[in-house]
Amino acid sequence: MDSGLFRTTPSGRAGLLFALFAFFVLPAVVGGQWLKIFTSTGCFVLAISGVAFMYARLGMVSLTQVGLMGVGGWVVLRLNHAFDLPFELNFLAAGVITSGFGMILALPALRLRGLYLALVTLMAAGGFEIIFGTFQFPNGGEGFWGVKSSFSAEFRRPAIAQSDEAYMRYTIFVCALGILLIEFHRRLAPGRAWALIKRSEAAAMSAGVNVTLYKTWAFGIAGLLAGISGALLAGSLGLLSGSTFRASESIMVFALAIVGGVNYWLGAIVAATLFRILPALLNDWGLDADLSFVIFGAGLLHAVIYAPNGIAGQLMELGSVVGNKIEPVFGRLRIQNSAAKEKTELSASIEISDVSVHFGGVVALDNISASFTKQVSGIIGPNGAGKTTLMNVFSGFVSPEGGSVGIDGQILTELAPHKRGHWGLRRSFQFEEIADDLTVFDNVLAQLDGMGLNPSQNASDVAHALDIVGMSEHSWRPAVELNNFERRLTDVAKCLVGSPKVIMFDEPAAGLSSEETDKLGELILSIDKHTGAKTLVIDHDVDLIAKICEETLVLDFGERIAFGKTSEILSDPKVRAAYLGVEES
Amino acid sequence: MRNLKHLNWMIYLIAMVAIVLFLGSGKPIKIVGLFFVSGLAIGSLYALGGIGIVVLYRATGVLNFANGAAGAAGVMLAWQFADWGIWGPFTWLVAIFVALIISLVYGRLIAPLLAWREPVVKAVATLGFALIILGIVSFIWEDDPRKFALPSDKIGVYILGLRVTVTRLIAFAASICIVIGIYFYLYHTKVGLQMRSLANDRDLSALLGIPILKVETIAWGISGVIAGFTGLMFGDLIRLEPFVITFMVIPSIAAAVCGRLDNLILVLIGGLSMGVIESLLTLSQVFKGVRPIAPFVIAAVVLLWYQRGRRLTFSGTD
Amino acid sequence: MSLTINDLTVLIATKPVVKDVSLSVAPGKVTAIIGANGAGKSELVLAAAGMLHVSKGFVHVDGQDITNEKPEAIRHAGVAAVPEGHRILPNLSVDDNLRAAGSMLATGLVETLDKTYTIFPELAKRKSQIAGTLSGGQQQMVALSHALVSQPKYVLLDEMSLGLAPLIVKRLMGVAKDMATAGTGIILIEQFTELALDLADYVCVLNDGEMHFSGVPSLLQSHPEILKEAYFGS
Repeated sequence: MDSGLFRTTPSGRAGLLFALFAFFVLPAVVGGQWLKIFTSTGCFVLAISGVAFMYARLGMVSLTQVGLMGVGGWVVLRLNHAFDLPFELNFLAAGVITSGFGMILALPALRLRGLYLALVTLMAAGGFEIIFGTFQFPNGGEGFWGVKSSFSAEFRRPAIAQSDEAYMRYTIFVCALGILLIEFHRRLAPGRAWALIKRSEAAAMSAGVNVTLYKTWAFGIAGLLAGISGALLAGSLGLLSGSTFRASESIMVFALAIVGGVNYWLGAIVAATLFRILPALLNDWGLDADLSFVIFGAGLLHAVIYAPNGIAGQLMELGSVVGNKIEPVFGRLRIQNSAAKEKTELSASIEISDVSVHFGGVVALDNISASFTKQVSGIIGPNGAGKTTLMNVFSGFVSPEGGSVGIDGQILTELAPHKRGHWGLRRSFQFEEIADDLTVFDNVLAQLDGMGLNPSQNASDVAHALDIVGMSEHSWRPAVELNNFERRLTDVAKCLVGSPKVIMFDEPAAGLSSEETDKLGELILSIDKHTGAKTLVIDHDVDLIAKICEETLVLDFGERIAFGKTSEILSDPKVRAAYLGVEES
Repeated sequence: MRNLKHLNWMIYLIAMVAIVLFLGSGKPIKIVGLFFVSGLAIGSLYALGGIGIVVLYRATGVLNFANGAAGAAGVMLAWQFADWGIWGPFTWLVAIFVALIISLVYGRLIAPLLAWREPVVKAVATLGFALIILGIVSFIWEDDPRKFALPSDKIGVYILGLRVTVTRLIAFAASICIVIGIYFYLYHTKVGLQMRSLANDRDLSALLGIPILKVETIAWGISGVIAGFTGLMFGDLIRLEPFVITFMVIPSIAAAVCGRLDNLILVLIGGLSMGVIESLLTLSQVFKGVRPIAPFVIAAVVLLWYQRGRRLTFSGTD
Repeated sequence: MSLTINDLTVLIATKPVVKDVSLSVAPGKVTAIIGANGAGKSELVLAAAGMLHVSKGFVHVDGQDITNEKPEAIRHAGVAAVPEGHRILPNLSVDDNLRAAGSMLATGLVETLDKTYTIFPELAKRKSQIAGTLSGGQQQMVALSHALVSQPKYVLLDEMSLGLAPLIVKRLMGVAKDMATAGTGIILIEQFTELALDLADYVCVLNDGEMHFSGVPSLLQSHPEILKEAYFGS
């Protein structure tokens, strides 16, 4: 396990070297006001890496990071002036409390996405700005708000970092820790869960990911980073004012995170440098610091239009420091012990009883009943017949008005959607839901996270599944490089891990050539041998269904028009009529 | 369905009346009225900004953060011309014209490069444009207390015994007129119909033979003109500072959010309510300090209210 | 005089979904394209209408090259496409839907609206109803009216029957037939072969993006195995 967690990549080594340089050399060569400027740059590196990871890993736009920094700063100042605690304690409290604020912000994020989420966080940033502007930062006074005008009490720095120079080193150290924290998350279960959520929440949920938990967790981490960065800033300046934490700065910080490049540690550093050092340099050269806005803006437009990986991406490409930006988590040694697992014994049938679903006035499924007893069964019907709706009833994305779906004594419709994965339900979607940000291996592994199983056993389980589908040699490739068929096979592998009981494929052959479809058909037929799970296949390709499914249910306009042995079904005049539009005579 | 709609309006009305009564209780009616009217004026500006944003968003899919910056550029130039002693009305036209050009430049040159990206990315890109304008404007006009005054500031009208400057009346009347005007334009002209059709389904509109580029350009133009006018008013009624006017786009977006980025009437009502509540908060000892927070709180609550009952966000939906 | 599609190839992410397909339709004639789902029928329509990029081949209308033109230019050239899935402007009223579709006409909007409402009296009764609240069949009527109001020379109809009750499908097919009789050239895409064969003067069977068969409908009716192969595989 740890061999993967602590694996270093070229980009990571470059980052460590840079951190060492910044820690040992930089504070020694700069002086005067530049010490403070570099320290505040460090604080913003932390805060920016928080927004950057939210955008890169989850695709969520948070425009309130600077507001959260203000929360951290406020807490650390209040604690500093009210109690005689060491800096470290105040500092941690600031981080934890701000993290809590971050999680509260996550509440709207559970329902909102994209533009609206960005707007809600922007509203929050506007709110923070005004509260800070009104109530001021405590500078030693009495009471909760602790404001005393024209007075500034002493601010205690950490015992080991009293001087400006030492404090700058302290900041750089914390910065490095923060970036490592994000990186560790990315390499572990949360990173896999985030990648799935970014791709599609429905797919994540059917893979057993607790979407609510992981979204909140991401906001918590971004909040934590903002909080400690605000606290560090307070330690550097000793005094904070409301105008430091304006809503517009939050927007700017997000914009610069994009300019820098959200996928790399270097991106956050480039962004913070632009934000803090560039204006200072312009001032030094006797130019108006407002010109930096023009540079930010032009950089942002350039990044959004031409450089999706930002300046850092371009620099990394130039130096070719980075090979694949997606690194495998486990070492290759891990998969040597690829072992077959015992099969699930499942003798009972899949029982669909009287399932009805209406959307508005439209009947999507009308009292459908069927009992699948064979190992591989099919569901066919023309477009709009209700096939996918039936599958969504299995997954729990659609609640039926009546009826139930049960297997092996378990009424599936009574379980929460993400728990059905733990129970043993697997599904693929019409468009394969493979997270581009993960390797093939991690994509499959994500299915097992949260089942509370032994990690090394998980790894061998995944390796075995990849063996079955014939993707072992591609295990460490990032999914973004895969072709359509390889993605499809990875999707199948996801369905095979962790003792599946029922596997559903929604149009698995869509977009595949006939040769690939044949291979996929054989693979699906072999599922029983490897896992003992029952398989349901939905497809338009009647040819595929005829080859692999013993039993088939035919739907048309939400009604069951036939059910039984596939060969008999296909010669049923009613089925032919539904498909070909032949009227019965 | 219909009953539910009425219920929502009832809830809104009751909430507004309760807030006004709560904040105004114990204060002389005249004072409350004064703050109410001044709130309507500020609220009109939020609403105006929001309307420009919504018209553009609907027709082009771009949420334009640069509207405020375009207005700021316009009003700063107008101030400069006025400072040189140029005839007032000409300077006002210059302000609107500058905002129009800025909006069209973005719409024709930059927006097409991003046409296929998701709404968030498009919005972020306009932010970049806003920063460029802001940087140039604040470079040209360095920090300095300035005052931009319309002649209408000096004229007062007495309504129910309250003196109201004509500028405030203009802001209020303009917001109502622009909503009516745009409503008329959208529902009674050919291009308006095409704009609504574009807002509904872009691809299908293209198939129906609607000239997408032309309609979008018109939408950029309308939003530019509104941005210019709003900038003038902000400059007069709030403060003549590029930074402040640029980021007045945030409460404008809050007003737009109240209308679900769609319904102009709701944007107007949302903007006006924000202005009134914000202004009346001044009367409260407790909330006086945080009164500018009102738009954000209102918008956040409205946004969550709209989203109630939704459980999952499937990929691709906003 | 014809709408001619020649050697058309359409790629979606480097994968050909339509491969070297050629077909044409003359004014007043109906060419049907049938084939299983995913055969590339819809992509063919979208490419001809300017919504997908044509990688190879060309589309001519009465001798004028409209390959990869803007959709609105193609519409002006007299080719209207009705995409599948009864696509309408859901938040607009029925009347606005039709007016939006007719907004490209320089003159004669009132007459053509009247004509369309005579064809679909159901819609005339619901002029002010919001189109998204119509039933599926009525929505498909609106979609078809989108093409009718613009008085095209050629129409591409994609899967009109999708998810509709047989009675309504018959009604819509009747309208398509009348359009052809009035001189419009129609390319009709259908998954219900029987319907298509009844109406068509010429029929093409697509399979996996390629032309599997083309000829007169009677040939297909007398050799049902060709169809079976295209739908159920060999």
